[in-house]
Amino acid sequence: MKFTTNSIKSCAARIGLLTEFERIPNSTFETPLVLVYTKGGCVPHLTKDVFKMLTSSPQMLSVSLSSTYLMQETMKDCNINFANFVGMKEYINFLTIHDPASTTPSGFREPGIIPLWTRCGKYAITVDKYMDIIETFKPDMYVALCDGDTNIDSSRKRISKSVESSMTFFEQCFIKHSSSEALKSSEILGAIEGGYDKDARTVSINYLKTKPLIGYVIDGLHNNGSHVKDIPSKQIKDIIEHTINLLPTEKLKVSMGCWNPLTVLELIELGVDIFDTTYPYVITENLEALTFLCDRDNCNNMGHIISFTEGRYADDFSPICSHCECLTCKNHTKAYLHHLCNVKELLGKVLLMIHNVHQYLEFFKIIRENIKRDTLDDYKKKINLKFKQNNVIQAEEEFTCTKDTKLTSL
Amino acid sequence: MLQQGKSPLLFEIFYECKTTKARAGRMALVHHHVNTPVFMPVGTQGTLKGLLPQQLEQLDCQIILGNTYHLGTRPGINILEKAGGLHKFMNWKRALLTDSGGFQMVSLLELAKITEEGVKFKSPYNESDCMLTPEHSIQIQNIIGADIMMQLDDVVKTTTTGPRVEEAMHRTIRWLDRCLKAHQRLNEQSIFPIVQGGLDSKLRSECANQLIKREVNGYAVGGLSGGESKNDFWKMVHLTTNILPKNKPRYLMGVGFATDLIICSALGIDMFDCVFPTRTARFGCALVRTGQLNLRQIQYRKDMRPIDESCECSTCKIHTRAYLHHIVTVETVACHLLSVHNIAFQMKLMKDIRQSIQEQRFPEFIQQYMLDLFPNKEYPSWIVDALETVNVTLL
Ligand SMILES: [Zn+2]
Ligand SMILES: [Zn+2]
Ligand SMILES: [Zn+2]
Repeated sequence: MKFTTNSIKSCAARIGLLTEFERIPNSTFETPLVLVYTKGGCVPHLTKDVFKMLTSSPQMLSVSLSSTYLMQETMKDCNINFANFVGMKEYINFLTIHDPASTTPSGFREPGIIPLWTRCGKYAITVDKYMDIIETFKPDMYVALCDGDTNIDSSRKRISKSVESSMTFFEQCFIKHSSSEALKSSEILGAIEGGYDKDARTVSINYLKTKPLIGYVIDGLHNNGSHVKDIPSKQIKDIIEHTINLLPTEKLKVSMGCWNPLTVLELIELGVDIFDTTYPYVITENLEALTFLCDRDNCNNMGHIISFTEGRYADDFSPICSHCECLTCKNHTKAYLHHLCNVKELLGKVLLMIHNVHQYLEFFKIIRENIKRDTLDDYKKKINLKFKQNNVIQAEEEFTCTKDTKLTSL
Repeated sequence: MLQQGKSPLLFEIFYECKTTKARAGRMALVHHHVNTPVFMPVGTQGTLKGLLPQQLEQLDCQIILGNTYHLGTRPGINILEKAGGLHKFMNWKRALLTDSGGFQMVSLLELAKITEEGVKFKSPYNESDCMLTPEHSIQIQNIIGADIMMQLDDVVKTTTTGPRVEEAMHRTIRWLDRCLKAHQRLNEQSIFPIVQGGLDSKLRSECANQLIKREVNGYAVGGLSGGESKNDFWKMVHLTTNILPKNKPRYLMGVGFATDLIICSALGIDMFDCVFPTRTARFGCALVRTGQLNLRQIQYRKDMRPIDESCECSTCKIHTRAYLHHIVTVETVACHLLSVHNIAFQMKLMKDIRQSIQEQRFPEFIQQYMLDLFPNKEYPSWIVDALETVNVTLL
């Protein structure tokens, strides 16, 4: 596998190219890239035939060990790799440890192990165990075992411990990786830890940047889950900038998790190359549809999101967005979506997932176009406006509410 | 009754089995044609268990069911009227059939009471007294706009005996006339009367004989598959199809197990529906010729075969039992994958039935199917008896 980028400046939006995958040689991906989030080997709510209706282009999938760990015994005994076992062999996969869509419980630390949370409880993962699993999965890309249990509130002690143990984990994983026959076609990435502590980040980076790696996962900023979308960009900007400045420019930088689109744009401007679709998945689980992408003047969506828990869509026979080319918008109305969500029918989330993932794949396409045209800054302003409008509408509604109450009380 | 314009249902029988009462034909409906005998999957609330209309078309579904009671409650008739009917609301371009709402009401609402006027019930939302009359049921079904509607019938428990069964039978006939009178969209929708009469041959015959005097496009056989013995069940079907006119489609309500589909096709039934294939999918069960696989069971953990080697569905083409075992009841996708397979299974079975009728080898098809199902030839007696009456002797 190869990563190339024309960028010479660190901390700048850039276009890159991922090529020469061993398993699927003719696959190429342009960065900034969004990996399609999967859980238990599938894109949530979408069977493979529906996923193919959603996108016919090659995609890279993000796979979390926590949602697939229970499959590893079968895979090992039947001598079948992950891509084949879940029936997704035509997609490149990238294996991470924790599920970016659900909060990873903090704590439960013991020396030499990482707690892995599955639906059947906690498993203690050692380096040996981890590399054994990796040899079974044979992912196209994966992250070395690491301790990323840090966030904005972490103590100095916790942060330095996470950096320290992650370095040890990496050292051991890398030795095993380098000598593994089974992992000849897999790429290992190192995880940069250090929470929000610049000194600790520096230690982590100085250790990893000497290793012959294709790239890095910038880890340890949050404990996953849906609340990541509420982390303000300004909270992470400084530490990401520090991190990327110290990392080799030509290497791939990955940041997983439920970042909101505004934060994604900030991170791209700082030089992050790879993200995942946790955000549209979380939005779908909330019975919401993304509307931030459309910038047509005649678009009827003012804000960045609409929620189908709201009764006002019950008799709205227009699509989520009349300019959206997705299967959902081409075929179904908001009224139907509202009904499906209201009666808790499975098709509601299927249709929302189709629209939301479609929007996110389009979002990244537009981002790449804007980087190429050097217009990302203008684009960012436009998207920011869509997010602001939601707040304005909310404020207005609150205002009318208070006015109404006053009128009735008079 | 004077009908203007084209009939909303044209039924043609292409092949009749020379041994049994089975027939293979085609119903031309306003939205789509339907090859019979047909199995109709049930999409209670305007959706079929997470499947897209495109997937249903790929599975070769030509007609699906909607439940009037559920649809009338949510999204409600106002929304459906504004949408221009259920077809448009759910973007389903093929045929639809709706029930009357009566059965659901009686079985779901404890306080439903049947009077001559209609079904009296308390609104599940505001406790107010409501009444579903035959006229009201048809008015709602006219708004939903399904190609085929059901009359409101007086539903009694299948195992009920005594004067209540007779009362229900007579009332069903009276209610049919009120339904037919209330029907507003004669060129677009057909009402099917429902043959009632419990498990009493005399009452069933009388009901069927009364109903065939009305000018309608097809008939339903109701009040069966409600816990009666299989012996009573097939005899009632046999007796009813003997009375119903040959040139109209016959719909056996609520029946969908593979064996029942085969036997009742042999007894001359053309249409079936059942929630079972999609409901069982939700619990991790996959239909196969010999019954069903409960994929939650540990024995499938390392089973690298598809559900069914011979199945052409996308689930069997892509996934193994082992993978499905790991995601059943965890990921919604597992439910969708099993629904796809189970519907494909039903569709394939009906196709095999139609094809064997067409090729005049339906009796052989039945013999082989039953032998596969009971390899030691310990056939249940009701199957033997039912098939004997239509001249099929098992191997
Ligand atoms: Zn729009
Ligand atoms: Zn859309
Ligand atoms: Zn199948």
